Amino acid sequence: MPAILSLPLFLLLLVPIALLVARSSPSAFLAELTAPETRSAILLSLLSSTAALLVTITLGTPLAYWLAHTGSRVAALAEAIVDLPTVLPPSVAGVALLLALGRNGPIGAWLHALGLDLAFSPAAVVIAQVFVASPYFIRAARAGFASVGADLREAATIDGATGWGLVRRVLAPTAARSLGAGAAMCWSRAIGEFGATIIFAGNLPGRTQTMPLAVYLGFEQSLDRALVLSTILIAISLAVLVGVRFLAPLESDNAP
Amino acid sequence: MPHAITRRAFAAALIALSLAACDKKPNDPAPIASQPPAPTAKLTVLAAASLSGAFREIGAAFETANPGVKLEFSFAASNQLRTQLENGSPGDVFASADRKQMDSAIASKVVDSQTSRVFTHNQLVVIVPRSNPAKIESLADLARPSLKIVVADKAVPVGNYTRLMLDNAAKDAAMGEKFVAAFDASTVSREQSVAAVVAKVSLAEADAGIAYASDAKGASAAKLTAIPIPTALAPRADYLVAVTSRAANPKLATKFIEFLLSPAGRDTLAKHGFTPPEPASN
Repeated sequence: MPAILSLPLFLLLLVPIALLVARSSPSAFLAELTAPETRSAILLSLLSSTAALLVTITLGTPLAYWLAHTGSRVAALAEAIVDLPTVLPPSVAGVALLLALGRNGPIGAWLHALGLDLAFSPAAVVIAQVFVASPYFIRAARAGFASVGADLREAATIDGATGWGLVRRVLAPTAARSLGAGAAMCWSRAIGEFGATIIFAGNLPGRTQTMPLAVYLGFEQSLDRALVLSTILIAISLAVLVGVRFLAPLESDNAP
Repeated sequence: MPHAITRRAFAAALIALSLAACDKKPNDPAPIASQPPAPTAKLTVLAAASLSGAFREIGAAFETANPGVKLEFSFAASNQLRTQLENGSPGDVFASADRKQMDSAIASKVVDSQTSRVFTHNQLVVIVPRSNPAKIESLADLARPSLKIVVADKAVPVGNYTRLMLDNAAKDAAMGEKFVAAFDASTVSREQSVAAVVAKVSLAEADAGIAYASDAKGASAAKLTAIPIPTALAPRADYLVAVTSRAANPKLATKFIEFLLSPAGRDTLAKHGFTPPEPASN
């Protein structure tokens, strides 16, 4: 019975995606793949999402560690704030980023005075992706760090591990699966980012037009391009999601 | 085995159900409209984003003039609306910001070609923020270095007109290809609708944008200044309207189109920065 009841929603999730992939013909696929606008969108998406992932790992790991081990009451509120971008419409994130970091925003005006304009730049693409995708990494990393018991940390400390050594030798290896799964989720969410990007970074082929933006504009202009890019996005996302299940079968409950 | 059959039957029923639902939707308003006393009749108008201010006002006047009629608007880029119609979106009237989108809609038979006509015009202008941080006074100023210019993507009517304007400028003795190259180099974004161009210039995040004369009279008027583009360069934007092929109430739809062309309709459009059609144009 549950199997039957689960069918409608499962089909809703599967059928449109399957039909979309089935609709792109191999010859059109190859022709579109060599078009400069398609290639620049793919390249920009790969570069920006990788940059977003690196920023997230660098700045998100300490945050996740703090969230996991601080007893502070502030942490519960901080966790909610970190999770906020996952439930907000990305367009809200885009407007917020434009108003804060645009050249007339409180932070953006200050950067503008230093000669740095973020809006409409490839950096804005990365910032939008970090804003929307980093919570997926932080959440998984926090759970991974929390799973390292106090006894193990104490034992390691007694054996002389401190600071960075503790993180590198004990915590990171123990939480590695969670960190890896979180990183994969973060990267694939970043590569699919659309709403915040088009508002904060704009849309310019070769500069800020990522794959999702090219799909949106291509939908009316060149359906073939939209289909090719959609198929690539679906393939990447599916590979990541399947990979995450192999990487962290135990922590899948914690992974977002 | 019976399990498998049930499963298959369920899937088949589900698909049949969803198809039936798809099929029914566009005709849904019909029974309401065909009831003789017709206490309420609904008319859905799909209109170019640039028409939103003018159409809201005209719509209110139309509802007052026709008690019991309820107008619903869907404003988006004309190309998006045309795509929606082609994919089965309900709607009784389609108002496009260019001939190209109307022609495509006619070609795919989603509008009644007999009813298609030009109802108003719009003029391309340079819009700058009221504060005008880059001190732009003319179209030619847009060739200055290190500007941030926002235009609409060429898939959108206003973006298509912008491209035509730049093509004209390239051939123009005073502007030339140098102007176009500088303009393109300063273009930081190709937005998905004229509304997005207006929003980013209103916020002064961009130094200038290309939009319609009507945009500078709309809701963002207080935040914008419009700079005219020489008429030799700027193509006049033609706005076309037609009754859709699947209109639930074609009579009411035609009535709305007539209202647009009436003196009251023309006055409202003119108030919002549109130019009335010449008697002969169609």
